[in-house]
Amino acid sequence: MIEFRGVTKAFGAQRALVGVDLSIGAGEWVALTGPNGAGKTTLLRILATLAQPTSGSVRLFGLNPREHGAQIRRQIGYLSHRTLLYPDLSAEQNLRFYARCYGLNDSAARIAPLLEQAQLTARRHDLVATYSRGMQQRLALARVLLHAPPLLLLDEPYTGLDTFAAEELTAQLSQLHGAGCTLVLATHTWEGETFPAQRALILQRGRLIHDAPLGERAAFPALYRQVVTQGTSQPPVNAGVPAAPEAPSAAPEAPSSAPLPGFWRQVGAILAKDLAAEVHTRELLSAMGVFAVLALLIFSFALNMQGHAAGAAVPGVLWTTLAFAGTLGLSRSLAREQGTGGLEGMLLTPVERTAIFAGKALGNWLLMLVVALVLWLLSAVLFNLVLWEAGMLPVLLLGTGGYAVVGTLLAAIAVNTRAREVLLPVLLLPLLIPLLIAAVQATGGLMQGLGAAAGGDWLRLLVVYNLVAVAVALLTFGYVVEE
Amino acid sequence: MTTNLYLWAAYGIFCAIPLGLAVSLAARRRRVQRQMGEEIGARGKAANGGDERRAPQ
Amino acid sequence: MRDKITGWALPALSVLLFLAALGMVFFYAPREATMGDVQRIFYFHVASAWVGFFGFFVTFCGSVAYLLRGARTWDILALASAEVGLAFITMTLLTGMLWAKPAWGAYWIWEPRLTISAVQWVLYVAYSMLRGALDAPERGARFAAVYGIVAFVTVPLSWFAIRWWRTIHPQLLSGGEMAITPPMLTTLLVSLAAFTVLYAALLRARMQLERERDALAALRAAQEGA
Repeated sequence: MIEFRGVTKAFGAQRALVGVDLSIGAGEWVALTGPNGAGKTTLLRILATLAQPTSGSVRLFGLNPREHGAQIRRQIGYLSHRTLLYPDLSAEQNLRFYARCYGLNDSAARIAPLLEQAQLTARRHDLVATYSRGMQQRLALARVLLHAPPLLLLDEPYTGLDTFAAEELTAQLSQLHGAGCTLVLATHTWEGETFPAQRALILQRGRLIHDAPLGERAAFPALYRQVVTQGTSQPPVNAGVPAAPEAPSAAPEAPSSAPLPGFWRQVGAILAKDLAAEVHTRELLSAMGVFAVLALLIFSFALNMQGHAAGAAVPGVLWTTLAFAGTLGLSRSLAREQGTGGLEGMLLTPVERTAIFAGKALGNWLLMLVVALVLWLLSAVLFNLVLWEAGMLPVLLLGTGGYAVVGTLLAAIAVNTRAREVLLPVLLLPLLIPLLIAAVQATGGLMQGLGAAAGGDWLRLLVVYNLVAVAVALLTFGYVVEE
Repeated sequence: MTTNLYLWAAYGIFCAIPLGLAVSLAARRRRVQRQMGEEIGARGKAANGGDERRAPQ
Repeated sequence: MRDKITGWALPALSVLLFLAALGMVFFYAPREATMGDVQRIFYFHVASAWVGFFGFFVTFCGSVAYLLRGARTWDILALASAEVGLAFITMTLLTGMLWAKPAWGAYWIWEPRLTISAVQWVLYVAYSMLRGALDAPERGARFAAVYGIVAFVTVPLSWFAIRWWRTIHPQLLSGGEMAITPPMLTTLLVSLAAFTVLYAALLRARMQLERERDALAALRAAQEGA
């Protein structure tokens, strides 16, 4: 089921994993231990296809994760440190979103028992942000089990749970194991955790220094201490696969025979999720809208825009305002994904990377369009201008579209840097220069009543900008989100 | 004659910026080399005194 | 030994060529009739603009190669070329302003070529700021590569946008204004060669600095791991 050959993962000069050889068969329950920073999380992230090894080969379910990512991902459930839930959505919405990402047809039938099991049925319509830590943890587990994966990867699942919750988790995991699930569970404290693993791995400084059947449970803490302080396992590392009880290889009620969701259905799921979050919080639209109105007012004072002067200045003012308001929304829209690891949650599903990009960019485009519409109407009223020419619609669509495409790509980069929101405008605005020039000129031409002919060249430039932006973004977005 | 002032200023810039970059690069390299020397020295004292420049291990 | 010779050859050659070009600019090239001595800014100004743009192109190529191949060398090439290119574009901008003042009476006019240099300068600065704000080494390099690609791709689009936007204004720098005589052309070509070699020398030094930093980081990581 899992085959690692000489897997090394380096972060710059730091090596998180060094030459790990490992094979895990179907139906095993493996405990992965080691001191902090030993590489446990890195190992699990490679298993979950979130990270690629620097060298060495990985095969999961007999497939290469680089080539068959989607096929592998639908068979893996990964419980991370973070909940990977969207706090601005309800429990049910979260699960429904992930169900759509996995392409589950009978999502309602799947979700109801999981919510019941997580004891969240009564509060399934409340926003996740209002849940306690324990409730979020239970919901996170429900998310992991949603698509009934035959391989479960659990990163420190006992952290922060009280005794009762821990016992409950153990019971649940034992039941899953009994049903044929393979479990890999990482933990850094052995004491007190009484899950019935069969095999123990010890990682230290990225090396696998111990791999043996667990044997006597009570003796393990002492063995662990001895192995870690000496740096090697006293009995040589188990070379072959320990004879695992051959469990039924069929996954519990595996729904994986359903076809993968199509590209546009994936995009639709992501878009619907973003819109639902916006309906709950209204934070993006209100912030962008109010900022835009404020900027318009301040520009009108600063530039003394009245009468004839207004006509010359309005196109530039509108697009400048839109460009600045847009950076607010973009930062927030991507920060939403980053905060509790939503983006990571999406990357765990079989959803295509380009679909993630398209969904986010479409959502941002819609937001920009709404803000643009408000601005255009407002300036028509304030400056007594005829803004609605027939040719205005393509200019608006292309102007905000190109902005959303480039902006989404850059926001995905900026959200991972130290400076975040501060850096986004610095990175984004220089790239928008051709777009803004073309949009302002085309708008100005239309407003002066020159008709569509005057804006023709500019419209063409807008089309070219959009095409180039979409092509570059689709080609490079995968590199941005990949770890 | 005043126009020549612009000419001299421009060629002053043409000389100063590459020179400045070269000097800054040399200074940064010297600092890294010094740190590397310290690192190797500490290593040599600590263990077998290897003088490898590239990543050992 | 051989490494030492090549290590010195490039800087020495660049200094020699630079001095030769300098001599030609002041003593060989004829005085331009309409603009006078100020026109002598032209030779190095054009050369640095060219090399600055070329540096950006190299960053683009390094970025594409890094994404496709993943070898650190390409990342180092992109990073070094951007830093050196920024120096050249800065020279272009500053000397362009110094030329504009006596020639057209203002330090800055929105002439397309000057404007596109300003756009490139801002892009380079943004690229450097992104480089400075990255934490994860490998992933950060990928971010920088994506930005290097996107930034370079927008340069021609900006160029067209700015040119169309400015078509109302006279093309001040077009060939008709300044008759380029053969000695002028020779001087320009020598300047171009000098700046290209200078770029190569600086690029090499910057790449070596980055490699040494890598070696230091590896040494420290090994120290920690041992």
